[in-house]
Amino acid sequence: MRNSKERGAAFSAAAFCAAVAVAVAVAAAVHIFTASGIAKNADAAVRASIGLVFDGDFEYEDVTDRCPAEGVESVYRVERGNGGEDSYCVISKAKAYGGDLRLMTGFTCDGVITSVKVLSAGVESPDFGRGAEDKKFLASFGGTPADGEGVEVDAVPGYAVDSEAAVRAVNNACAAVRTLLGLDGEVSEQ
Amino acid sequence: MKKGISYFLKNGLFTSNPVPVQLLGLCFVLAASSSLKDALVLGAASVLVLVCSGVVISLLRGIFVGRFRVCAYLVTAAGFVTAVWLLVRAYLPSADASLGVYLPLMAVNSLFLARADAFASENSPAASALDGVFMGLGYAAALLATAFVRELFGTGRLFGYSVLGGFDGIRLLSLPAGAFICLGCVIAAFRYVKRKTEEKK
Repeated sequence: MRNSKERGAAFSAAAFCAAVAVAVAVAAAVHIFTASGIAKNADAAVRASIGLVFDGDFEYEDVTDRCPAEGVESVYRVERGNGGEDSYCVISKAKAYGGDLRLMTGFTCDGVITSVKVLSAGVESPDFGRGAEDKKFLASFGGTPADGEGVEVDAVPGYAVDSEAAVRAVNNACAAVRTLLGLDGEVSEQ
Repeated sequence: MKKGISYFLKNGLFTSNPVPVQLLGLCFVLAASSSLKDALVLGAASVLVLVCSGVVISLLRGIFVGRFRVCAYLVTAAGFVTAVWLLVRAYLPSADASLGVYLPLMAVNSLFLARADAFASENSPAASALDGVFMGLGYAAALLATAFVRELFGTGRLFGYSVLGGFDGIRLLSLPAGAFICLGCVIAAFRYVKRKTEEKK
């Protein structure tokens, strides 16, 4: 009786192992087939988002591990094709109206903001970043040093929550660049 | 008893439709019905996973028994969901970005577990494949119906193209609360039609 119970349990366990083997084999086979396509898509997505803040040819390196900061998704060191100095760009986010606001912020090699673009906005204000007022608002971040006392700009009328989220996201990006460039502790007068 | 294609067609799309009749996999209908494109991708993914996992579970039905049976069904479905997710990431990156976590999360869709336990574990691979096709199509149809209502009246668009002139839609329908309202209406409409059809008989 006990033996048959043990045999039953062993058989069930073996069946479960067979299911795991089937699942792993299927996933592994498809992974081999799709790995290069996924890597190519990931590279294209990164290049497209960096292209929002930097023109022309460039190569990039993911340096996120070197500057962990709250609300920061990715940090890239960008080598410009024109032989100029390295630039940096940061994908950061902050809670907005109905979801996260994700921004791409470009920095010069000295940590000065060059431009800010919206990658995705909250569900309840998906158009934030597209209007003329919004673009003016985002442009006002330009020229701000990452080692300043935090960015402060006037909110866009009708987008108060998203504007505040944008300021927080840019400040998060600045924090990451400060760590990356070793500017922590230095506060410049803007 | 041998069942013909018409049996599976009627069963999957109408009499036992997974969404309005069995109320299975509702979480994914709510999440992926904000746009027709997402609904189409999730519907196609469901058909693929139902067919593949149904065939494998049916082939191994002699050994998928006992206390680990349900775990085995879930792991098998998870394997195929992972495969479909990788395919979508490689060939439809925009759909992957738009569906986000909901595509890999389909591994725990109650529809897969229910069909595996109720059908594939007791029937031949061919019958399980047919059941997967038509149950998947029934699921996709309900998903597309909900997405059609939400996208059209929530944004005034279909597949991203403006179709209602200057009408920007009722924003509530694009939000999670709108998903519940639309799904409720779709289920009510389906059940009304089903009841009327049965009364006529």
